[in-house]
Amino acid sequence: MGGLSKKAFQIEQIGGKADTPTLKVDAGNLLFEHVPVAEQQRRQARITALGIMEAYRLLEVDAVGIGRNDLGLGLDLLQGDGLPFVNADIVDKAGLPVFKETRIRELGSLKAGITGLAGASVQSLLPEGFAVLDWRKALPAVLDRLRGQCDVIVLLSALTTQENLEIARSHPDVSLIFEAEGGAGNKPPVAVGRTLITHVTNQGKYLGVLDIDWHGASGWAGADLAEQIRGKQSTIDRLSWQIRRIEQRGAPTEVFKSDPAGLSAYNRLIEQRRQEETLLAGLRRNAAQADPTNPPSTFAASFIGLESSMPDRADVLLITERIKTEIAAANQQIAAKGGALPATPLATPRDAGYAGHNSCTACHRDIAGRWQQTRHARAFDSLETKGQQFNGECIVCHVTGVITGNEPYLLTLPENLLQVGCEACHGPGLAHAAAPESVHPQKKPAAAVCLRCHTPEQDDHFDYDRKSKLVH
Amino acid sequence: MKQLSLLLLAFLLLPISIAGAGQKLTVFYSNDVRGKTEPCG
Repeated sequence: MGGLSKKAFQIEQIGGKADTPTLKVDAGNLLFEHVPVAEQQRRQARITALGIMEAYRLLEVDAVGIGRNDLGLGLDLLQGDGLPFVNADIVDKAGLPVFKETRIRELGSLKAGITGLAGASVQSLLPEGFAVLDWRKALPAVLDRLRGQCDVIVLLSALTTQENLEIARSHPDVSLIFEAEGGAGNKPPVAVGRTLITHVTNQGKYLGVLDIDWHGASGWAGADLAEQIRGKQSTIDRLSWQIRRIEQRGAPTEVFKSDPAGLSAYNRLIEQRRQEETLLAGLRRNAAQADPTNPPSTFAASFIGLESSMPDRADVLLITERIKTEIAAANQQIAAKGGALPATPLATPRDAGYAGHNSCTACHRDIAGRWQQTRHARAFDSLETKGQQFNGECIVCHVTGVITGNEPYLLTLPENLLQVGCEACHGPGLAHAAAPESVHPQKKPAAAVCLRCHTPEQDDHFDYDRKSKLVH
Repeated sequence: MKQLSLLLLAFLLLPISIAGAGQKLTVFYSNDVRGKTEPCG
């Protein structure tokens, strides 16, 4: 699911049909999957980032915010390409803004003023001397400028949800906040005071579409306010149920004593419930304050899932195909040198004790036969089908023998370490193969092993208990 | 007289029609693409 060319096609189709003005924005965290970018991934990351920016220019996006995941290769990459970045809190050594702080777009009879905030978390990724201003200082000055000349003020924010809620409460003239750090899942627009806050789930799997009937900045009412309240309450109930299930097992710090990933998942649930409760309180306030004599602006929102069966916009597809070709060429050069980059000492899978699935099959014939029927046994093939077998970001979850930092070596794996084999879950098996009676691999892998690849982004509904029974 | 009444009626209805007519617009938005140009496999 997902894809730039599919998103571009949808925007062209819906935007072309609509007889209303359109605004196209991206709230940020657009360019890099991981930051800072590891030395061995820099070439691939640069090719991808430049390709995405080229595609966004074709889409004629009106404004792009900046988040942590845009700063993987420094500021220079963002400054010279003509993409309409907008940011009000990153300043240079002289204290001057690095990017355009605002952009103004005419939308029919309206003027929309757009600004962006990156937040304190980008500080560690900025070059020496550059700084991030506290949004409490940066935002009021920008709003003062926009207020007089714009009807609608839009904020592209890479701040935390909690900070965005604070902005909604303290700066009600911000009418729309599009979040870049809103957590997992699509977040339908929620009115907090006079501000609407929303975000789309990550990795470009959905396109957010917001149809607005603007009646002035006096506030919002989804025709479906009651529906929103019910939906929010049901999310909180679900989270509370999950939290109760964990707490029934004992104090979470004890239950997850030797499972830090489990404890961090529990803490995330608590944080998510807290945020949802704040949003629900805002919705209830809005319902209580509704004023029938002063009609608020209304909205209807939808998230378009970019399914693989959807058509592509041809010129953007050409760019994504070119990105793949360039990455393949760059990474094949690395593979030709044995997978190692200069000054990057790498452990090979053999060094780390991986034997390959053929070695397991010799004794565990029945299990191997059942594994052959699973998608794990075809994981690498699925990359080849898509031409992604040289993509360093993809390959780690489609082969066996991953050691963090040795991704380029994965391009040179032998046949029996391709696909997600036995050792991807049970751990390296070379020692067990040599002494099967005395060395025993992990029998049932912990959920954390699966979650390295079955992340919420890749597998929305991963259920360890159910899925682990299907492996073999 | 009839014309005057119609004019008066139109004048009285004008604010209502202005209040009822909003400006429609469509916003396309995304975030957190995180370098993903298409699915892996």
